[in-house]
Amino acid sequence: MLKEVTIGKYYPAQSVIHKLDPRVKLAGTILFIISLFPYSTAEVYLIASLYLALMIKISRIPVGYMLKGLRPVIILIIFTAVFSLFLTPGIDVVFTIGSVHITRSGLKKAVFMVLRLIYLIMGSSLLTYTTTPNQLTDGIEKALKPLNRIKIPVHEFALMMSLSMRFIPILMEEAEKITKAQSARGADFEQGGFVKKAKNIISIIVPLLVSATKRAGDLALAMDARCYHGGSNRTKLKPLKYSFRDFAGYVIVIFYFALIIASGQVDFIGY
Amino acid sequence: MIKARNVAFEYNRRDNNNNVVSIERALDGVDFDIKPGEFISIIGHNGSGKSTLAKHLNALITPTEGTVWVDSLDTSDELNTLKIRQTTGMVFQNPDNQIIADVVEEDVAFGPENMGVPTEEIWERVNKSLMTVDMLERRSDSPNHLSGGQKQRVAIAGVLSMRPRCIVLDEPTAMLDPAGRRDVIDAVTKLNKKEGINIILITHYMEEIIHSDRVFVMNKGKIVMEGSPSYIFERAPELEEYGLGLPAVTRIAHILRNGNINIPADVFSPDELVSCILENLRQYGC
Repeated sequence: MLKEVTIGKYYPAQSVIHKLDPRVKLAGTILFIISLFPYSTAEVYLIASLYLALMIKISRIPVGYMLKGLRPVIILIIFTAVFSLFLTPGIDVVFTIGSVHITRSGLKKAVFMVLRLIYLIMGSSLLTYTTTPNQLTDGIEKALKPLNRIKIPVHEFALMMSLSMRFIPILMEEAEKITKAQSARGADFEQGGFVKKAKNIISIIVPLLVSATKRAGDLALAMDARCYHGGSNRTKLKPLKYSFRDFAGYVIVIFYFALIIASGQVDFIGY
Repeated sequence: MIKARNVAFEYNRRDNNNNVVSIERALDGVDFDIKPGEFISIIGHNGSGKSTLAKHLNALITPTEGTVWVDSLDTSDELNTLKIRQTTGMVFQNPDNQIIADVVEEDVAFGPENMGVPTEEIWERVNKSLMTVDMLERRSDSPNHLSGGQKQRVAIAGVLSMRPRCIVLDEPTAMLDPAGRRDVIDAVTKLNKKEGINIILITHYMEEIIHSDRVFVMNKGKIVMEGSPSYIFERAPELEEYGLGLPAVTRIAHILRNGNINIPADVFSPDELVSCILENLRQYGC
């Protein structure tokens, strides 16, 4: 079931974007998301579209694969479109169906809301498609390192994140095993109403929790045995180091953001 | 290399209200000396204290009474802990619960990263460790795609990369299929013979002790028997008292020997036994 969801999954390919430092990609994604919000003009969205298309092209991720990532949120997109289309009040009515008026501003709002949602998802998937979970946590850890000074345990949080990602498939497999074991003993997970189904899940969750706790204890012991003593004096197998490529990346990201701000100030087409 | 004197370990058994019900003595007056380069096996049935003993060798727990010295460092002194854990590495039973990273090579690097080894040297150590356990070609795979035996070999590589002089393996084969078990035991034997690393193998499979120099048999927190594998195998009735049975090959060899058929005392593997029997048959003119 979860295997079909492509959103947030790493897509291995050889591209400049894949090789970029995760911090550059993080900054780029955050700025791209921010850039979608302040202005709803055609110029801004034209620039954003071109920029996103260019990035997808450079990343060598098939467009079809990018679009597949939108599938889980398609209902949300349709809802947003319908609501903005029919429920925006105004006097600039374009046409009327029965008692429902569709206004010019409603039309405009629907288009921009849909584009904004699609770009949000595509932009952030581009980050996860081109960055392995390990690189991502490494990048977050390094980028947030200054927070250490105000006693926020950044290294520990990053480690927790990567450990939970490592154990997701293991726990999923275990949940499947428990379900099968209980079905074999006559438990029925298929029939009954919502309440009954929810109650049945308890008999899976409890053994799963017990085993997860035991695993956590074992893991802590194993980490202790391998000299783990927190983030101090730690070295890295793959340390993050900026190269020329990464500075160029920052320049492009900042240039894009400046362009958006500048074009947001003027409204040539006059929407 | 490792010395234990009069080691005892107690823990409190508590009821649901956290009141102490009884005090259990998991280890009770354990003494031994392990020389550099030795291959030691520790066997015993469940609850004999063998895993508790293993955790003492890595300072994961410290004795209630008595002392353990690793490389003449007292394990009870917290200042020695990191040094001791670099000297004696530890491999656990469940392969999934001791692999920390999402990628094989990153997991092998975890130990040296914690020790603060410079990056280039970590790469060197990772390559060499993975080569030693024959897992180099799976270096960039996810551990979730490996078999149990392969995962356990990655765990051994993760310990090797810390350059320990002794590796303690706490029932490393208990959760593996026969093929995985053989791979792990072969890898461990190779480490001992080729690299001269001390091996302390804790197991309840009698078949796995045949490569060791000395065997400790544990029962109720005590070392009750000690000697070479053939010495241990000769004492089948005593072993049975401690809940341990002989491996099939040794048992058959015993029966044949009692029937005056010439089988040498150091026959442990099925192949050796078969060729011995064939040899005997030939002598009888069959």
